[in-house]
Amino acid sequence: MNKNWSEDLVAILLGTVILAIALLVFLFAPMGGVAESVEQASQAPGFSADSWMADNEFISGTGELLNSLANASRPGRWSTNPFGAFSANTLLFGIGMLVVFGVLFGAGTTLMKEKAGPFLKGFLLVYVIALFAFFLGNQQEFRDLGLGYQLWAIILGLLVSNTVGIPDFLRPALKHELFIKTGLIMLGAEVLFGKILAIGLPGIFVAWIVTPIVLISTFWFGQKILKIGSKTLNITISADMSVCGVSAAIATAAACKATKEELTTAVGLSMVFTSVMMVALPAFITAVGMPEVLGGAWIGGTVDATGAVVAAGAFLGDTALNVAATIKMIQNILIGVLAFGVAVYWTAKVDKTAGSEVTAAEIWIRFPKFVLGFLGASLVFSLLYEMLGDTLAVILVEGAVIEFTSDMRGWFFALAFASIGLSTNFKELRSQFSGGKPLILYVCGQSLNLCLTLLMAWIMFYKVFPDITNAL
Amino acid sequence: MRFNRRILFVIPMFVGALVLLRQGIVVATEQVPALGRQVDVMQQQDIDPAALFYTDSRVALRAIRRAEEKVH
Repeated sequence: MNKNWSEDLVAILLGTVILAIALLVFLFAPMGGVAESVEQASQAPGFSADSWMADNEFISGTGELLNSLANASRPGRWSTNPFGAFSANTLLFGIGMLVVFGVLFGAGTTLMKEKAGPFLKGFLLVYVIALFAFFLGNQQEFRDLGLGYQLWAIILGLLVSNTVGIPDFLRPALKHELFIKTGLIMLGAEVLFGKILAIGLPGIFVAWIVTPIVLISTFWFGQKILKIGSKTLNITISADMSVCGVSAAIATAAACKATKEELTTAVGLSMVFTSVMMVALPAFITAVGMPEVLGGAWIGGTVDATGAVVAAGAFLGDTALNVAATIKMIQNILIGVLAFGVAVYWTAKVDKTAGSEVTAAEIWIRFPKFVLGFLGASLVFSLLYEMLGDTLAVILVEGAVIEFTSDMRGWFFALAFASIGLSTNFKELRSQFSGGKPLILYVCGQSLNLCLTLLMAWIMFYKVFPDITNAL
Repeated sequence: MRFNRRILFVIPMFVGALVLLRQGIVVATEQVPALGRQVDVMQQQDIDPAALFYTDSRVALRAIRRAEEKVH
């Protein structure tokens, strides 16, 4: 076999291997036994999947080992004593996780016809920075403000590369695109299309009608009014502000091949504004006496990150929390369509040479193939979810398979952001903010988002579908 | 690779900045009532505000299931 594998194909391969292992260990192996137990338990009045999961061990020893590798390898929560973040298992599983990544990425680099040795030598430092990012992201006060591992990975990487500098042996390991694309294949498995009807049509109108309008309007505003030079920066900020923050920024940046500096800018803006809106929006909603369903829908449609949406919704009450989390989930599902749409638009329109016709073959050659892996994972998992039926799907897919793959995805994104920080220059990053245009774009886009989402939520939940509002 | 003496300066400065940032957040949480109440809610319900996707948050998953049950 002499042909080089592209980074996209390697990402699809690695992602598929992890998802296949997860399905085998967490779904297919225990399915018969779990189905029987759930069938019996569900006869009892008041049965719920959540309480069944809390009371039963439905994950095998192999599954527990995989979960520990993905989760217990990270430092735990701590407040004032940093040593409290580490248990006896952290070192053990931390080394185990390093070996797993070494095998996966060693094989990946070999397929890309690069030497695995130099990659693995540098990878050790990228891994240590990602580990340290989890450590800081789990500090109580930083965590309360939403300063998660993503931000710390970038900051730590930037700090190392722009102060002490990075040694040459590290450079072969700075493969942020490979880490991101592999993480995005995992994310695809979490995009379950069947869930868009979770609360009926009002959810779709708020999350799937307003969001594309805001996305396209913000992109247009950035190009025509602000005249932002980089279309990739413009669409990445527009997507993270209108869809779901950092995860949308990652997917969009990868789909349109934005630079690492542009992704960093979009992520930074999103995290700062999310921290502010998470506190300010529920305080405003409470002050004006807005009903919980309307407030929850407004928060779900406008605050970027899911965690911040949950925090802001919970502040208002259980009903607001339920509505906010559901609207945000429906918006999360849009990420697959977004990545595909941006990839097609960029391949067919933005990247084409002026005056030339683009053939279907050319579009196929330039199309970022990892997007197909992302959509493929999404379709397979969506079908599995529907086929299993509600209770089994909640227990085996949400409670087991995705529990593991989302932890793995967190690792891939932490490695990606550490790698981005390590290869980014402060001067290049500062140039992204020239004239304050990204900031203006974000503020104007978010203002439009706030107005349209509130209007749509009010019309849908109080004028068109008041029955659904009453049921909530 | 030669030892870079800047490390001796950068590490203490960074640790100092982290301590200051943490202390700043503690003071802000005490002084700004809205922030303090928000932090209380998050700690009581074990919410991670940095969760990227709905599958990263058990609280979100439970909330979505409750909403689905109520509507359907």
